Amino acid sequence: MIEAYVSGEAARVAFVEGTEATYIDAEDPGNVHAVTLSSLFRLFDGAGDVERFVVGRREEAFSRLLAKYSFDRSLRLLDLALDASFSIAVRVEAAAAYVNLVSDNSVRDRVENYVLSVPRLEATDHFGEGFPAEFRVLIHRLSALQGHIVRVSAALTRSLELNSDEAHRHQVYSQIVDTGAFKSIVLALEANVGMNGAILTAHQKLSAVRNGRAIVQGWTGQFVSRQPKIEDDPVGDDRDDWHSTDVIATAPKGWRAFQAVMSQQDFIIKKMLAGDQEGARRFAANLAKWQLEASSKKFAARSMSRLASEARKLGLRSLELDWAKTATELNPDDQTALALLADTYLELLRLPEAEDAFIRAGKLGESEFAAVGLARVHRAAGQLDRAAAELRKAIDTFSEADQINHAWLALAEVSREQDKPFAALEIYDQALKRFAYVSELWCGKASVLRDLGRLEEAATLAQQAIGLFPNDSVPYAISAEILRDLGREQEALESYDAMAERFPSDPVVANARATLLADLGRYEDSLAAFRVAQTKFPYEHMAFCGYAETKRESGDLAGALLAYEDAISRFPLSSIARGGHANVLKLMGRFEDALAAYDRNIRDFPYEVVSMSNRANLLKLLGRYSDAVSAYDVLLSKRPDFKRATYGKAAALIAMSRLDDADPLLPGPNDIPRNDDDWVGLHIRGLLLLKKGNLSAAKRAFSQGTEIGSPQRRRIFATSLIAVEMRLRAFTQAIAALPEYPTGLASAFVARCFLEVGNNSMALEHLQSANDNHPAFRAYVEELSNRAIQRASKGEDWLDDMEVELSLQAA
Amino acid sequence: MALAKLHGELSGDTKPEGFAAILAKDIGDTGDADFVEAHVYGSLNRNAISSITGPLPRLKEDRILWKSLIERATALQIETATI
Repeated sequence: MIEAYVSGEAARVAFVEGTEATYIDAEDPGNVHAVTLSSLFRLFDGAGDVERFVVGRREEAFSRLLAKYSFDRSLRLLDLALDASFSIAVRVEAAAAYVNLVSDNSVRDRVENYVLSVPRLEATDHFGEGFPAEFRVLIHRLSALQGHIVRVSAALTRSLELNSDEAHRHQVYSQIVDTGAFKSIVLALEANVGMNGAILTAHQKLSAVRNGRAIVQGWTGQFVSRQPKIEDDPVGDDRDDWHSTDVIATAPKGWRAFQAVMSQQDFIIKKMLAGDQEGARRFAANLAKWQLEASSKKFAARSMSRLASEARKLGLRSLELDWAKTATELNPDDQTALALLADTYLELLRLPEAEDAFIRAGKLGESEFAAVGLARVHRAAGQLDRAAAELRKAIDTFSEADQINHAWLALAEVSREQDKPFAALEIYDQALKRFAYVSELWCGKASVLRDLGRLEEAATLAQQAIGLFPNDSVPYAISAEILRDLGREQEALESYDAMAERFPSDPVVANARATLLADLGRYEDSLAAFRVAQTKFPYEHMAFCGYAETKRESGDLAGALLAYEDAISRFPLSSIARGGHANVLKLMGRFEDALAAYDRNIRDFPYEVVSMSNRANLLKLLGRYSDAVSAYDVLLSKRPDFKRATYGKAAALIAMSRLDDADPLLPGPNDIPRNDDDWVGLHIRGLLLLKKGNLSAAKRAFSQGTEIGSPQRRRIFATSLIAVEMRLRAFTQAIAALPEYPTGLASAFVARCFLEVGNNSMALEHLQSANDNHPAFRAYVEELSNRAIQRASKGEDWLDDMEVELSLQAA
Repeated sequence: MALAKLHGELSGDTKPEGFAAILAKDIGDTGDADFVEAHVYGSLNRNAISSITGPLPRLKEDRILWKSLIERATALQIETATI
């Protein structure tokens, strides 16, 4: 065995074998120097990290040297990169070298233990674009954690002063840092979860240290999660009685009262997490009442504000809105509550109320938030030029504010909505130079590249974002969606499977995976996945809406209706649940009920264009083309940028034979589709060509859409391709074009094809699965059924015309 | 001081690169090592340093740290040389 002394600081390892001593420097590993035993200690003069190991081979000791060297130099280089007294050139070089060293996970873990335990109170200067993006992400994170680091450090210092003697205080502090116990507490504070686990780990790490238990208790006492404990529960296990009036009346004062409030808030959050919104609402009302009696409006407002914030994290808009409103009513000067209220109104598209709340927030001093908020309101109202101008002004006015990255993001997205993808890319590039640590900017840029069909670049960018933000699920999701764009659904599903394992607590991942299963036609698997998501995330409306949507896609309309009713009862302010419910009514043939449901949705969500669009689409489906055009016009007066409404209007105009009016509303025949809207436009352009009898051009247009994109899109294009083949009287080719999971319309079309080639039994089989039920469709199917039994009553022209009209109605 | 003690080992042909080897010799046991030991009385500050000379480190990380040292010394008007 060889005795080895290793120091990263000295970048040197010395070996002692018997009476012989040698050493090697990290920078010159091929050169072994002899040294006398007595002068061995001089090799490490000034180094404070010398460690002794007994190893079997010199290589083992040398690899330990490299690890210690990397650790030591990482910290030195980080200090250098952060030190504004050095030139930018040297600092940038140091930052790049630091990033390179910590790309090794084992080095990074150890370095982070230290970096996240040292308060850096000095102001950090601006880290410009020369610094590597990874480094800027780190600095942003470090800045965000400073408050927690300072708090944890101060608590540890106090506990060590009380519970340890001076002689071993430094050693214990180092041990806490080196083992990662300090970092765990900081990260648990930041995440607001996992504190109990972090404290338990700290106890384990210090189990061998004298007085370790007292040190950890003294250190972490103030961070303990405030979960209600059974032994503290004044009324035992019956949680529903926990906040009874009697208990509140005897509530303790001062610190214990504060603890009681925090416990009650945590209890209400638990109710939300369990999906019990009514329970949460009831207990919150009790809490506010008690606080108003026991303390003041200000503290009651603070509780409501915190609860509103928690409801927001869980996407529970109804609770968020109620509590934010209550908070601002109790304390009109509560800036946090007002900001939450403004955002909630905006997300619910209650734009006049949102505008008012943003203006009030501005008067309370939140001028940057108000400026960007008002621009977002105008963006939501479809006033894109105005929103863009306001965002540019906000970016100029508040250029130094860190939070202004939100304005950059919004500006890029407005450009995207204005159909200016190249301008959006430029904005993203500019923003990333300064805010490389903002994951949303990376993801936004990747999405624009997707829009442009530059999928390889988008994929590369998504991979970079995954490297930079490994704990953010969105870049992974974009990467999977790109695989879908490329038609590689199976790989996309594998990617979602991996994401589900990596992000088990992320409802968005769980729902996206379940949705993909439905798109692949694996309805049972999809429903099972949504059921699991509902159990895990009972507060998440998309788990319930997605389940209902899969029921609808699988053809179980009664089940879908029940599922949507369930979703609405749980999430009354979910416009997706309400819209989905109306859509199912439409599919069931309950057209008047559906129209009434859309009207209710439009009343409750006046800027929610999806319901307006669906209502107009339904009018079109029912053949009420003039009403449909009016409905599209109303929508477009509110949201002129809403392309699908423009294209829907074009379809209605084509059905009315107003071809010249429809033509300019559609994308050009040679335009390359870049996003879903463009594909819709291309599809209706194809229908216009079909209506005009330009069959070869129509066929070209529809063929494009059958090759790439989501299965749903390919089904729609395949259906129209069948219509063209039929018009060309190429019935065998039309049958061959039938997709694996056909639309009702495609089944009906193929039924005609089978009739034309004399295969009546196959025709009847397809007619049975053609289960759409709007009037024109029923008339078409009835005619085909009659033909199957030799009782045709309409001519070929009628069938040809109906096929175009049905396609336009469904488009 | 070095000249007074080590003049026998210095000649007109001795180059600065050779100074380190002359100043400190590890020739065996501690008692046999030959070196110049200097004690500075009082605090060590910028005025105690006339120039800094050293080899360019071979490892990239150390070269950056060396560069920062040169930059800091230059700012303090201390002569530097990399050999």
